[in-house]
Amino acid sequence: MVRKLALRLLIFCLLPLPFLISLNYIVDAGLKKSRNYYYTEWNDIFNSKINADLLIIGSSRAWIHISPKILDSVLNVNSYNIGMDASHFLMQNARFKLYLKYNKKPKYVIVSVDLTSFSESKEIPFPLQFLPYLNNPDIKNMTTGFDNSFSFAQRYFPLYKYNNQPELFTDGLNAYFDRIKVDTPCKYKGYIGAQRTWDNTFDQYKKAHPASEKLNVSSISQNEFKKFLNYCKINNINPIMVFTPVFHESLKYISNSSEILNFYKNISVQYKIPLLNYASDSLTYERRYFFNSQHLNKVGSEVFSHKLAIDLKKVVINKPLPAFNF
Amino acid sequence: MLFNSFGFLVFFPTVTLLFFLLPHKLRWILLLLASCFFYMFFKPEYILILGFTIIIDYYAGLLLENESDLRKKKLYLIASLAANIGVLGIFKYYNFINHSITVFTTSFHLKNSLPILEMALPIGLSFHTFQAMSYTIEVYRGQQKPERHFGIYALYVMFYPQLVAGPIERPQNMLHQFHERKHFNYHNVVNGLRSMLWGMFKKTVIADRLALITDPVFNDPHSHSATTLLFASILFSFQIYCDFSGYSDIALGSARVMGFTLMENFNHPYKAKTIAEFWRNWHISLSTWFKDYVYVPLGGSRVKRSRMCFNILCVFTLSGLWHGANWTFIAWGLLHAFYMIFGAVTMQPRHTISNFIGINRVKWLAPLIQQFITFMLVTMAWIFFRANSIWDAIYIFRKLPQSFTESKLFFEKNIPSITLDVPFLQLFFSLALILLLIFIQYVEGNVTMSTYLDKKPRIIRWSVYYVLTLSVIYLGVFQNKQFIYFQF
Repeated sequence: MVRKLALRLLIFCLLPLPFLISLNYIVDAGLKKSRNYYYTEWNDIFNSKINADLLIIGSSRAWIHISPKILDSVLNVNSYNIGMDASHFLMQNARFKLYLKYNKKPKYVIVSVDLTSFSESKEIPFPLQFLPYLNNPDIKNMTTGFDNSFSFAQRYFPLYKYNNQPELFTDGLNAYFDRIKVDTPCKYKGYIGAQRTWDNTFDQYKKAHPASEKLNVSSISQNEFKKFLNYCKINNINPIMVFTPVFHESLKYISNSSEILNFYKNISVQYKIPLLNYASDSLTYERRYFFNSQHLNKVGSEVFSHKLAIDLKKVVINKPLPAFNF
Repeated sequence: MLFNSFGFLVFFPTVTLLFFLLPHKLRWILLLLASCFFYMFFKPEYILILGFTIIIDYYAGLLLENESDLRKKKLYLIASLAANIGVLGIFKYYNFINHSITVFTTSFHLKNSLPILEMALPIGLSFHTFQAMSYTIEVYRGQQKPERHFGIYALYVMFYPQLVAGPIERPQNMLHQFHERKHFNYHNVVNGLRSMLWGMFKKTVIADRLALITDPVFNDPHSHSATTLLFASILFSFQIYCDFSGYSDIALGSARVMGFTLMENFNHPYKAKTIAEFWRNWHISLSTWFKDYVYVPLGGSRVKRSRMCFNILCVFTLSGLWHGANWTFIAWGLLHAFYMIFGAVTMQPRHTISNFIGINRVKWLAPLIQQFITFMLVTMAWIFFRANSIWDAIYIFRKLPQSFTESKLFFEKNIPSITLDVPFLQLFFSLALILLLIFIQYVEGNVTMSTYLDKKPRIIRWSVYYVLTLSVIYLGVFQNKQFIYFQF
């Protein structure tokens, strides 16, 4: 009886495995070649499709603030934005290293620095973006050690990572069999403009937190940032730090904002790299260009990208690279 | 440890395998250790509370047997009950009573100097204390011989499948089972696993999915329309049923695999045609506990009507309090008491009215209407149960009538009346699952799904198993969400 049960349980478990493993392969492969919202940039990186002259890295403040289309047209270069929403420097750096592994190194790298770049992050930003690549050793390293790290079952049990993700599952199938072309509209070379208007979250924040708050800054992240700059120097990659606009009032609510900005200024002098600081630019006073205190909307980001492109043209791209503090 | 966790997926087969490998005389040790481990997964130090009540009740049982003086016997019983209720009082009700006193004294500009105890409620406290109390009461009544084996008695209180959310067992049903030699039985194992799978499906695929819709509504009722509140309340009725009956199915199933039979806790409660019938089929182990140890000793129904109403009121107030130290639960209990009393008092006139209207002439119509009314009454009561505060519940009740106006606006001017921030697919799937559940309940009739499946060819049985298993894996919501009844 025991043997009968064990045998039946074994058959029950093993029977669907080949089907599930194959399906897992199909969905993964489909998503890896799709233009799905989450995977476009990852796929371009892994498929060596970027090879940009000018690469933009950073958080959402790079991703939705800097338009490669505008930079390309003004500077006549091939740029690409690999900014990662809700990410901090360590994660951005890991993505940059992956980029270098599969693509030719860029001539310039715009590093969008901000007040939270060196905050310690306990969570993987938007875990869905890693699903088809979970078994890639680099992605594995990138996504371990977080509170919401992927479980053993998510990594190794076929399809379990797509639990409750019917859209991703069908997108993967469709892309694999070339049935429907899944593409994310409005995304261009990684950039997406946020078509949103002021959402009042900052006003609510001000009410809830009338006193300023101190942001945590991790010295580990700062050291990694220095290592990153050294690495760029050794490999002839020219980093340019850009502090993109924040709504002018918001800096008041961060007690250590000038401390963090000074860190960037010191780095700029110490490593002789340009810092384009738009923290008090005229744009920051125009609420219509923002949808919250930290993010420009589509119109704002396009105005800013123009400004940035012109500044880059004036001070960096057309000139040799002296230490420059904008 | 949660049944719906990865840990249990390792724990259960390991314990079951060891159980059958070990000789009978060592099995109680394994089960006791496993139960301790299972309980300590939540908050290890609370095992001491369990230990305390186990020791008290074990010795109370022995003293009760040896004592012939009725007065002394009563004293032992009271001491044992006081210890159990005392533990419940301190850990579950002290802060609630203290807070209520503070609210009361503040309204008279007085100060309450009682300190607030900073502690979490031990998981399943009400379940195991009630199970322990049923032991001493039964020994006192002479209907159960005291258990001499301390380990077996401890296992009776701590048996892991039913430790944290029941069923609240009786010593007559459980104690002898721990002494019996259990043999591996293929039929038991298959039935147990089947029950566990069905329970897991109900919990992870239905209940936790519905929670994604109902939680935001009940956590912020002021931001939602009346139609949404009504909709969420109905969904919550299914959520709590699937959550709790799902737990019970897993508990019964995991015990069954090892050859233990626990009492059934649910029997199609939403098919009930009256509130009394609902209570005969919902959380049966608690309902019968209150019936046997509170309602009947108070006189039950064989007394004057006023006294019977008082007995019902007592039972349901206690039942409300048992569920939680909050006015919402007391209000929930009182509302059910009102339903029961109103039902009993108006039984004759209602029957006359339905005869007069002629509903009874259409065979299927009367039961359908009765089931619908009972379900809606139960749903209304669940609002108190689920609301975060009594004020939220009152707000929802006051707002609900507006759903008629909202529906009118929707049909006349196409103004949406649902304010849910849930993708359509999610909503559609949730409703489809509820329909599936209702369908299964009606198909089942008096035959359980398990018995029904037994008669079907293997291909159908295995197809059902695969559908359920794959649904749990790929459609289950795993957010480490506790079972609702764990908090009690």
